[in-house]
Amino acid sequence: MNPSLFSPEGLAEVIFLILIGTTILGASIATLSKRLIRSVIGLAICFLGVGGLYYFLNSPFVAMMQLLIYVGAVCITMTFAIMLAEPDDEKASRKYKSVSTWAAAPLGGLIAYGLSRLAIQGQWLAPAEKINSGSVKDLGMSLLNEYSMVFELISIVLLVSIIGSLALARVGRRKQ
Amino acid sequence: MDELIRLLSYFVGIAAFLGFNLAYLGWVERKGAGHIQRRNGPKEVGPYGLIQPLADGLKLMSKQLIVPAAADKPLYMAAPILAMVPAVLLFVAIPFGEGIVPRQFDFGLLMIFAFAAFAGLAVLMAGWGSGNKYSLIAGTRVVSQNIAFEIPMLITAITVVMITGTMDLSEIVRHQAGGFWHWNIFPRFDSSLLMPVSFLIFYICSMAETNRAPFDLGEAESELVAGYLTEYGGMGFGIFMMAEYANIVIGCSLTTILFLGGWQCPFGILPGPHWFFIKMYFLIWCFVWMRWTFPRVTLWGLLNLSWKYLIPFSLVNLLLTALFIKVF
Amino acid sequence: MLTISAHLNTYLIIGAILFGFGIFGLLHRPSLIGMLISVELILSGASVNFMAFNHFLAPDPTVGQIFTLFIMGIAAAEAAIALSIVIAVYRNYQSIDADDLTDLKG
Repeated sequence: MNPSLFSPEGLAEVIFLILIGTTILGASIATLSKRLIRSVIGLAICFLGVGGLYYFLNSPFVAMMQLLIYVGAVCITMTFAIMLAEPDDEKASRKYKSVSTWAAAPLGGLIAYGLSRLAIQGQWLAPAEKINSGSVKDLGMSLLNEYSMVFELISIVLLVSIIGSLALARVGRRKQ
Repeated sequence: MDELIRLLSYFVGIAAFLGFNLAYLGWVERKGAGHIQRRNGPKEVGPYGLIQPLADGLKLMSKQLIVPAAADKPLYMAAPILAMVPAVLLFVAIPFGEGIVPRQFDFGLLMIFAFAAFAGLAVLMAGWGSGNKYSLIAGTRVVSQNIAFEIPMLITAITVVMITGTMDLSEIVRHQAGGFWHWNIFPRFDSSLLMPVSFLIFYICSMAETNRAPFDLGEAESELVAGYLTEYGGMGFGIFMMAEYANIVIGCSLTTILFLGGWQCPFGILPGPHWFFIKMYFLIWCFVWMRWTFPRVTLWGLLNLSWKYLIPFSLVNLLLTALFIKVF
Repeated sequence: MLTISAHLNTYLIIGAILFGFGIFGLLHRPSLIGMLISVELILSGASVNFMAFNHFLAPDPTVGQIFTLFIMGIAAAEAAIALSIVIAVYRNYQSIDADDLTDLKG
């Protein structure tokens, strides 16, 4: 049952373990590092790992969109905002004390543990018959047939958010 | 076992192809620049200056890697590697000939765009990690240029996908079989009448994405020295240059595959990888030609070009292509 | 150890760990952009959960993928607006520490 280490399945498992490590490493850099730019890079590493996980979950389209949207757009936007809003990160000594690591970490760990136990002990229904194969073509068909309303709504949401963020960011410029 | 041999031979082949290209594209550029400017290019080192790239490589490798004191070391060191890795990785998806592709992906086109998005992050890391205000400003300019030109590139690639019905690069090339009038660049009634427009928009955007030709604010002019590359000496600079040439090769390969018919022969007789290389090198030569012919654009002209002209054109192109496909 | 990628529980635990990291970051980081980064981690944890159930248990494997794509779209829109707000806040208060924004206090 256990595949040998050098067979293709074994190597795929090794890559899966590396991806889990990348995800957790990225998440810890994102939350624990003192400088904001390093935590954005940690977030990008975490998204890379999650994209790899999606590939293992048989949906390469979502994996590529994760890389394109999150790493290619969201992380870059955050880096821009950091450059505009907090250029000198030597202000790491805050005026107010934040919630210390030793108080917040057990809370996060407790929530993670509670969720995992709930998930493992859950009586999930047996897998049903799959009605389509989940390929990109099926995804497109169901996106435009059953879920077309949601598709239109999300385009309206994105349009409104573009207009909103432009309106917010323009306010200071008219005074100059 | 023969799967392993196949993978190893692709590995060696791509490494050789890449190494040869990255070194000798610099030679092509300098010779081309020289002759366009009515002078000879490099001619001392070897016959016609052919050993010049090796001499350059030796020079870059022997320089000391000076890390500035105000630099953020992990970011500074990681940026060239992050710029190089996606560019090299994408050669896995490109079909050089019929069945000559390291791995067949159903979504090869999307993969190329997804990995090209990493380049922006690498530039930001280089700009910030250098600890230099001018590098930072140049880095943000380059990234805003990259993001702005990525959008029309994706939209025009969608028009090709609509005509062919698949994102698989080998399938897109096979769709263009049988004589050059079937290539995607020529307007036809069973594909769209606006394909030359798509080709033009895609070519301009790929020139801007690779920070090339009239759009190279980030590295040549910006502020004082070399933009986000200012603080990189020796092999760090060498890796960035190699990553840029690798991106150019990938951009031109993608244009060849999408619009010019990949490995298909113009007259339908002898398809093969030689046609792919001929077309790709022709496009690279056009890149070099345009770099030394046009003056550089300003930042606002560049961003205006993308947001005010190319995006509306490409959206209208998309709608009209969809209309053509539906009606005819 | 070498067959864990075929079990549902692996992915659920990874989702829970990402969620835990997100909550920890939300409490630990004082600046607004740091909180936004933690919120993105929380959203990623939820997305991994959706995709895992989609692959193993769902009768229609496109639903989970569509939902994840929409989570990505909404997260991107939210990040854009949140970052505009951060820039506007920075223009007015010259700081993005969450404890400095006390105009409505008391």
